[in-house]
Amino acid sequence: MSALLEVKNLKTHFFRKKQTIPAVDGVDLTIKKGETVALVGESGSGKSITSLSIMRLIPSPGGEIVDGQVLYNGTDLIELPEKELLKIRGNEISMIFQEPMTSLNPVLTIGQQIIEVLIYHQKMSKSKAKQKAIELLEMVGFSRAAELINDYPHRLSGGMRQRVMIAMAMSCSPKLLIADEPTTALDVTIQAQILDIMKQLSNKFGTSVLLITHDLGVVSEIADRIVVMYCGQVVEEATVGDLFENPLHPYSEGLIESVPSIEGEISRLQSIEGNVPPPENLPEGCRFAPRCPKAFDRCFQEMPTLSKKLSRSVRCFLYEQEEVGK
Amino acid sequence: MSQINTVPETTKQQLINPNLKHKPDTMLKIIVRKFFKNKLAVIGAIILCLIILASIFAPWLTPYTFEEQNLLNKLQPPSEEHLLGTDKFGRDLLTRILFGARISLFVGFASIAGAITIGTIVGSVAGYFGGWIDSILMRFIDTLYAIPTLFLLITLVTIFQPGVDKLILIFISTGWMTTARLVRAEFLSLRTREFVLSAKTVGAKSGTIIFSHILPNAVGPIIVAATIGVGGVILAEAGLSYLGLGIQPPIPSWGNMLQDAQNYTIMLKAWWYPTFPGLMILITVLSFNFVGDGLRDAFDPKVNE
Repeated sequence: MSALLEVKNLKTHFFRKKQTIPAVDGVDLTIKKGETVALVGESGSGKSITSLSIMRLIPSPGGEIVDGQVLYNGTDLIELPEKELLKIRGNEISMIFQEPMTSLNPVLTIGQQIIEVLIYHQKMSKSKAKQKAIELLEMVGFSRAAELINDYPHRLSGGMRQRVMIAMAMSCSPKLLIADEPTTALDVTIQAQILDIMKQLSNKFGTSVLLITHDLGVVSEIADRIVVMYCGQVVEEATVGDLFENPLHPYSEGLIESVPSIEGEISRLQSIEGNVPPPENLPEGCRFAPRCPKAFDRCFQEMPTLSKKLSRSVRCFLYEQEEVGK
Repeated sequence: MSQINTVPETTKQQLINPNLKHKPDTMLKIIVRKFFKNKLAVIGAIILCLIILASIFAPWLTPYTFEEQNLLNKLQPPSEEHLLGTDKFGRDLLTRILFGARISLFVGFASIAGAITIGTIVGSVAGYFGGWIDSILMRFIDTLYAIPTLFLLITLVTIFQPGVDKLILIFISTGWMTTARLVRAEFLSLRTREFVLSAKTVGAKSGTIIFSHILPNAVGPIIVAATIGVGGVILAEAGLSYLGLGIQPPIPSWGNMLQDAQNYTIMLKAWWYPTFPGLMILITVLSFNFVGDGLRDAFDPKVNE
C-alpha cells in the first residue's frame, strides 16, 4: 500500500506579540490508501492544528506554517497555489468538525449547502445535484431525505446535523476524510451510530480517514493505527493492537490507564499527574518529563528523537538502546 | 449497502409527537410574524405604504399640477377646492406635498441603496480579510469621518449645481461609511464561526463565502440600518433644501416648501403653509424609525416571539 498523505516535519507556529507559540512542532505522519489513522492526545497537544495545517486553513493572521511538507499523492500542498488548493478541498480531502450544531450555515437549507459542493466540484446541473444530495442523505440514514433538503439546520438534532456534515464531506467521494473529534459533542448512542456510518462509508469509497480524538474508546473501534501527540510533537506511533497491548511511551501508557475499564477489580481511576504545559513556556528536554513517572536526569536536559523501529516508533530515552517492537 | 440501518426519522418523530406535520417555518416567516406583533412598526409600515402609493399616483389624485400658479388665489386656507390650502403663488399645497414626496422618498431610497451597496462591499472585504486590508480601509473611513459632513455638503453643493442626482451622489459619498463599519463588525464575528470554516473545507472561494455564506447572516442589521438611514437622508435633504442648497424650485420637496413658507414672513397668517410639509417630514421619518425598530426586533433571534 502506498502513502496517500505524508506529513514531514510540519511546523505550525502562532505569533502573539513577541512570543512564538509552537503549536505543531515537527510532526511526521503517514496515511496509506484506505487506512484509518487516529491522532490522539490531550487538549492543546496540537491535534486540531495539525489537521488544519494539512488543509492549509490555519487562522491567519496569527498562525503560519513555518516549515515542513504535506505531500498528498506526491504534491506538496503547502507549496500549492490557492486556486489549485480549492479544487482539492472538499473534492479530494474533506473535513468534519466537533461542533455539528454550528458547522452548518443557519440561513441556508441543508439541500443548498450540499448542492453547492456538488455543483462546484462535480460540475453537476442543479437538478442532478439535488438528486445526488438526496441519495447522499439517504446513505447516511435519513429516510425522508427528499423533504429534509428543504429544511434549515435548526430543525435538526446534533446527531442529525453531524450526519448531514458527513454526507456533505463524502459528496465528492474524497480520498481522505479528516474528522476532528466528530463524536465528542454527541451522546454515547449517537456516537456509535456516527462511527458506524463513517466506517461503512470509508470502506465503500475506499476513503482514508484521519480521526482526531481524545477518546481511546473511539480509536479502538475504528482505527488501524494510532499516532499519539503531546505538546505539538508525535511521541508514539503504533498499530492499535500494539499500542493497547504494550504502550511504550509513558504518556501513551498514562492515556490508556486513564480509560475506565469494565472488567477487572474496581479501583481508583488512574490519571496523569499535572497539566499540559502552556505552549509558550515548554520545558527543556523531553516535554513530558515534568509529568513522567519514569523520568531520569537526561530527560530534563535533552530532547529525545522519534526513533523508528519496525512497525512502530517512539520518542523516549527509555527505548533508545534496546530494540523496540520485539 | 447504500442504506445504513438507523431508526427512520419519521418514526422517531412520531414517537415524540404523532401529529407533528412536516412543514418547517422558514426564517422569513418567523421574521414576518415577529414584525407583525409590533403595533407601532405595523402602523409605521402602513403609513409609509400610503405615502409611497400616494406619491406614485399623485397625478391621478389631484386635478392640479405642482407648478400651476394662480396669483389671484394665493395663500388660501384649506377649503374644498384646495384641501391643504395654497401657497404664495396660489399653487395647490396638497399637490406639491404629493409631488414633493416623490422627490424626498426617491432621494432617500436611492441614496441609501447606493450607500448600503458600497458600505456592504467595503465592510465585508475589510471584515473578512482583516489584516492590512482592514487597516487601510478603516483608516480611510476614519479620515472621512473626521470631515464635518454639513460643511462638506454645503461646499459640494456650492461647487456643483444643486440637483437631485448630485444630492444623491453627495448622500451616498457621505453615508456609506456607517454601513461599512456595521458590516465589518458583523463579519469580524461571523468569519470565525465554524460554518465558515466548514465552507472553506469544501473548497468554497472567498467570494462565495463572503456573499453566499456570511452576508445572508448579516442581512438583518443591514436592513435595519437601511430603514433608519432612509429617514435620516429625508431629514438631511429637508435640511439642505431648507438652506436653499438642495432641490431647487419650482420642483417641490418638503424641505424647500418649508423654506418658501419661512421666507414668507407672515407665517402666522397662513399656518397651513409650513405646517403640512413639516408634518409630512415628521410622520415619514418617525414611520421609518418605527419600522426600523420593528425590523431590529424581528431579526434579533434573542427577542422571543
